[in-house]
Amino acid sequence: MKASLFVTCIADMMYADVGKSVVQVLRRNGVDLDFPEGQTCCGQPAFSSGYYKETAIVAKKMIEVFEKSEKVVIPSGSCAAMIHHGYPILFANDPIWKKRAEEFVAKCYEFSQFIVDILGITDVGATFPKKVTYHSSCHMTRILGVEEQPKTLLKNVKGIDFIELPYSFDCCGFGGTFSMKMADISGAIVEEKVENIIGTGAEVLVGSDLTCLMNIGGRLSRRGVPVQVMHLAQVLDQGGGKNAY
Amino acid sequence: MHIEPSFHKRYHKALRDTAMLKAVKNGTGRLRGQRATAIEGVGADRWMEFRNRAEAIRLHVIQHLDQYLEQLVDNVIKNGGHVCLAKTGEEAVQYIAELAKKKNAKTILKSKSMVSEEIHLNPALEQQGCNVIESDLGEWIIQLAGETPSHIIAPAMHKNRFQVADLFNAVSEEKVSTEIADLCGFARKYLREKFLGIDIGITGCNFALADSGAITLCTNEGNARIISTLAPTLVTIMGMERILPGLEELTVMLSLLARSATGQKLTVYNTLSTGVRNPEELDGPQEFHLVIVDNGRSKQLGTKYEKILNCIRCGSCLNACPVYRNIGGHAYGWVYPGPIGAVLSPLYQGMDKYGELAYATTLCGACTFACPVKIPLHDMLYALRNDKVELEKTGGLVEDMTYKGWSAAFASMSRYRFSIGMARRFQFPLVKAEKIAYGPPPISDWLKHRDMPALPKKFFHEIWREMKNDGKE
Repeated sequence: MKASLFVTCIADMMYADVGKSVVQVLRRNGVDLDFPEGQTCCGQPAFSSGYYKETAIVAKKMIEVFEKSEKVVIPSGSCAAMIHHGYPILFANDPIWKKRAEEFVAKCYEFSQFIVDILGITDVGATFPKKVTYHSSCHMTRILGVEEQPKTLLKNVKGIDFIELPYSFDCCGFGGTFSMKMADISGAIVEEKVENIIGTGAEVLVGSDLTCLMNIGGRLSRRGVPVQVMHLAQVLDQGGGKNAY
Repeated sequence: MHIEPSFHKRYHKALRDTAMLKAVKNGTGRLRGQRATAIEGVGADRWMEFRNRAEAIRLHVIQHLDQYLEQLVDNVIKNGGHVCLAKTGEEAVQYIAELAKKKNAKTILKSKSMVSEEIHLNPALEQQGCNVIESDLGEWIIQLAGETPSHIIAPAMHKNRFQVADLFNAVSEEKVSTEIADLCGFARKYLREKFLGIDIGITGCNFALADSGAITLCTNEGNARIISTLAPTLVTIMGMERILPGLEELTVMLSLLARSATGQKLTVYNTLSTGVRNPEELDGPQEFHLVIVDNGRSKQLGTKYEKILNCIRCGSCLNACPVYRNIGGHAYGWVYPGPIGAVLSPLYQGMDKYGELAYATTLCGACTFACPVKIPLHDMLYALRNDKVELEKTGGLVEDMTYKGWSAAFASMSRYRFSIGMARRFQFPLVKAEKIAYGPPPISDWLKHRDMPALPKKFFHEIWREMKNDGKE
């Protein structure tokens, strides 16, 4: 199967290793990947701050960049949700771009959603013998409606000891600019999340959204808590067998 | 209660109030848990059916609000009641204050009315010499404390039993212990005596039924029902949107309201009254006044915010909201806290005063998913932010420039790559052990509570160049 990778700006800038794992996992599972040049950002920061016009400028660019792609894989629940939920709002009054946006939306998939729902794979053959818990990011579950796919993939990893995170669906307090504008409220919310993570006794916190992981990981780091933070793709990339990159 | 005009100061005060935060977290945690159990009991699919039906009912009512209001008013008058249609809060207060004067009322007992908080009814009545007593336990506690409600259905959620005992002891002749049973016992005894001297009773209204003119009150303590039975003159205040066509719709809403609010199958007391007593009846008011308050509501009709009028005030969005759970209700600055308040306050009271509340959310969407009538609260919060930027033509100079700069840079791959390349090059004074722990504004705020990873040696698009042809011929 052919697919294009939209690696997202945060992954591109800050978590190149996650992008690398995404490529390796997908290739191992038979996906012929390309990386359309010209891609930057889905537009979420400006959209959630109310700057729809500025968002639309960037969103149009993304639609153009992926115009020739058959499927687009995105290793971020909130960026995928932004495209699915935000783009129709942005172009509601522009018939031409609305149509182009709809075509783009129809081929965009979050990483775990693509593996489970499109490739039909629930076990990627990874091995990761550690105690792991999972944070369900808000936009991926509530807005995009992708809940079970990442957990299914995780639970099928060989040797993994999966522990449910209490209040897994509660927000981590990131909220884009919220974490800067209302820094102290955000700090209180992420502290709750970190306490719940510590309570599980897990060695590794896994998530499907790098911004949530950056927020939670940043708090764990500040407190000196030795819980490792990993994107789902990085876990699925472990012990990857003969086709490993 | 003095309310600090700046949201920033209000929430910082809240963040320092550890007793309040503990009580709020316990309270919302309990309600949230009970609600989840109630939904499990119904089954997720049936719960969704309930919500769909309820949403359809509310949408229908709001779309035909004028028609149902007319029917309600006709029926209340037919039943022997009086109706005041108040455009503003002041009009409503004036009507009730004049009525109290006419009746020479000394003792006024109230129960369960958020609208009366909204229009500042108590101070106006007290000013003309009336003794106004809140009869709902939670409302009485906050009245004694000189505070406003901090939660829609549990107004004194933010107080613990030690604080409540202190408040009760200030009005009690005998010492009241901090045991819950003693506290409830004292409140019951104290308030019972007041009920007997009642001149005017004032209640809120959960739903008014258009086809009969009946007023529905849902309470767990029954005090509102004592008022509506004992008061010679009864005043009911309702927001103009709190209407249902009739009993059939009420059955759907009642079971949804109770489950969403407290996880009960049904509230303990569900009272329906049609106003004045009949000649052959022994109790009930001799005079009934229904005050229907607009106060900013009709402005929402026909706008993208119209669905906000669907709200049935169950408070489940508050319990679901991570921001509410960490700052409590008073920080929101007006009667309605939490996500519903963050939407209602700027819409009813103005963006200039409450616009900042649109940013008091992580946009996690938990509120929308908790809402029994499916109000897209988090979408409205997005829209309010967009309104602020579009209508006021600014989100602030710094923000305007940031996003203009952002769109210019991120709409072009080369400019994007150039910008992040520069950021990587100039981050070195801040980086220590591949982390950034201190930095200039605005990241300094972020770094107050957490570290940030440094930009790595290679960006993904650089790694891709190396990976591109792997596994290919």
